[in-house]
Amino acid sequence: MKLIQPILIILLLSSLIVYFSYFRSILIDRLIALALFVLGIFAIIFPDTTTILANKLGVDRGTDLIFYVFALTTIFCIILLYSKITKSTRIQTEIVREIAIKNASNKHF
Amino acid sequence: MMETNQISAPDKPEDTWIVIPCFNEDVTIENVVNSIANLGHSIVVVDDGSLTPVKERINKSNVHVCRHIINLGQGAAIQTGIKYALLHNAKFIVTFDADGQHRVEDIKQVVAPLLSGEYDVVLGSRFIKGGDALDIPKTKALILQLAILFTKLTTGLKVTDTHNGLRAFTNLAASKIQISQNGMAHATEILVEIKRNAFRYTETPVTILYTEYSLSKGQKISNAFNIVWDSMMGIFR
Repeated sequence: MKLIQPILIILLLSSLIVYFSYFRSILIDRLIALALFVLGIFAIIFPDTTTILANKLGVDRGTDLIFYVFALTTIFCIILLYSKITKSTRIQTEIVREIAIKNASNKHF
Repeated sequence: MMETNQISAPDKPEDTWIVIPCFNEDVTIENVVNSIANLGHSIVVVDDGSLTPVKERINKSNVHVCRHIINLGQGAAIQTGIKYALLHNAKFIVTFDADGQHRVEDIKQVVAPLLSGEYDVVLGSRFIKGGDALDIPKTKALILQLAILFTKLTTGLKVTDTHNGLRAFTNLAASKIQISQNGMAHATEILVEIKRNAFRYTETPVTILYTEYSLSKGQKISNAFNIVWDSMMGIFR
């Protein structure tokens, strides 16, 4: 493993965390998704460009580069889903809580 | 936190609210509730979607029962109880486990430091001098020590017991604490909230009774990993 690799992993993970904790917005989520989609189409139309780009980045084949990007996209989507589920759990909790308080025995208000 | 001095002595016992989160505690809940009710405190039992509703078996004027229509977890139940107690103008709020592992006489101990207005939050501890963990299994003690270390590292709070269900809050502190961890990670979250709000907190010795029943109902040791996981994943909200 080259020294750059663990550093890249740490950078990537911390940027994800920073993004999800501070800069999160639906607009940016969608822009990222759109950008990845456009990149995908571009790679299909000009397959050689991925190899050229891959070589520049020190990855051997274009396929490998696509694979790495795919892995990153998947991680991004999973975290996105995770945060959506968390949000909907929070809403569900609020609803259940309100019903519980409303139907309480003995309440005086 | 400087604004807590709305506390006026002498306090009426019914102004202290005991929040009891409860999930399938059929064996113990009635005894626990009855023994606390005798002290004159107000009680809110939060039935967290138990198979047999608690409401049907408890009928006392100072005992309120809220029922979650589905099971959400202990953290959510405590938050519901706190909200309910605040709506009834509670002065102090005490959380108390339903499985009979706490001693009723310890309620007085956790509330006492709040009376002077000197503290916002009091945490029960089984590991400081005067506290006790009767018949605690060795592995459980070890896991709890790891949890305490984890808390020290992540929050910087110097507490001796992080997962003790017996705690007391002033109404002001309780209104500022937002428990969003529905599961068992709420214990850590409460400590994070204490830190965030810069609450004045102290620990007081309490005794935990490990009975065969409370051990079978209580936290499985393997759940420690889940608690750490939930706490960490809290950043992806």
